[in-house]
Amino acid sequence: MQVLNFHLFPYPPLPDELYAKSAWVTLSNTHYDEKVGHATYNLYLDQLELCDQLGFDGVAVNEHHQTPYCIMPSPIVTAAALSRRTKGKIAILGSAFCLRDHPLTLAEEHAMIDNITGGRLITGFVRGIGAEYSNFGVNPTYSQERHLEAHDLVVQAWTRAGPFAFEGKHYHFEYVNVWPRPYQKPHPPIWIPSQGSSETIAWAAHPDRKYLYMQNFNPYSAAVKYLNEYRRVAEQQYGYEAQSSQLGWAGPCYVAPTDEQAMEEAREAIEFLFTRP
Amino acid sequence: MPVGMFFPPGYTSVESMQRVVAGKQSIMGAGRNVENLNKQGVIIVGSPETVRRRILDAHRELGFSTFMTLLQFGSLDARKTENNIRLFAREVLPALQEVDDRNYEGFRTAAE
Repeated sequence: MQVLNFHLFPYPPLPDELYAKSAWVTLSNTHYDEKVGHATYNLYLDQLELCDQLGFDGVAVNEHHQTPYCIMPSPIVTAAALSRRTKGKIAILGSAFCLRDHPLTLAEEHAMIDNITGGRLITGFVRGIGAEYSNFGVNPTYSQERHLEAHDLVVQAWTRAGPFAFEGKHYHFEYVNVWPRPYQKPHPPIWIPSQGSSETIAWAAHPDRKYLYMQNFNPYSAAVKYLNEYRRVAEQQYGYEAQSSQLGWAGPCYVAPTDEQAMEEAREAIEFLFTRP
Repeated sequence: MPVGMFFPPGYTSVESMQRVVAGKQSIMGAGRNVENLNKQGVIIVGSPETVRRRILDAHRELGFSTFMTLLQFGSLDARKTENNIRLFAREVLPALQEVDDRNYEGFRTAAE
């Protein structure tokens, strides 16, 4: 199997009471300190570069907005910073194309990174979590529709000869003609990180797509249920045998010389991650 | 996060919302300490031997081609993170990179 290390870029802990209402959307950015931010960004980039040097197959980054949970509103910026200092894969898991009124700007940026890295990019398609619809002022009712339509638009922009017109329900472009085209053909591998939505599994497993489904940080029982559901849907609904290359599992790890030492050293940070709202 | 912020109106179907809430409760519910999270397999914490065995066991049962870990999380400081990255890379990573479908029990066995 291939092994990637993911990073959420969390802002260092703030006083507990600040998280009481929500760590998302409304936690005031007056608590952000640029000197802390400068040091933190560079520390985290160093950690991902170290993983690359030590033989990981790749590193992964993602996108969240207006929260100290993840100070990475643009994984494009992170991927660009990593692109010239790493040799392995860079997985953007993912970009929320559908939050944008112009998903093509993200399609262009992904294509640039794919070209700069000579085809080391993996593109994740996500909808963004509910809170991000507040951040962007986008109507959450259209989230799923925009997600599917933005996917079609971006894949066509990467694969069809331009210029062509795209007329969707939510997106209308008279001229789709993205320069650069992706380095990888037909386009960068597309991964679908999810918590286990049946619609998402059926969509990712469709024979037209066969995208890698990544079961996110959940109990192991969820991985058993949903990875097997992908294989079952492929076989029973679509009539083909899903390959292991279509499946991924994700879990935070902490390793120390003994089990006891590992638990004690990880305790505070793990409980911070899972108890702040 | 307030529920209304996590699930703004129309963001997802009622059925999906119920499924996600049920899934999250096991993680975000009462027992969100490191022991319970480790027991549930939300996190994989232990000696190199323990962590290696748990991921390889999961691979044998599920056959995934890709494992994505998170070696810095929450408030984990720079020193512990670097130790974690170096020990994982030296003692766990090589054994994972060796396995492929030959180590997978197969779908029918796993689905029983």
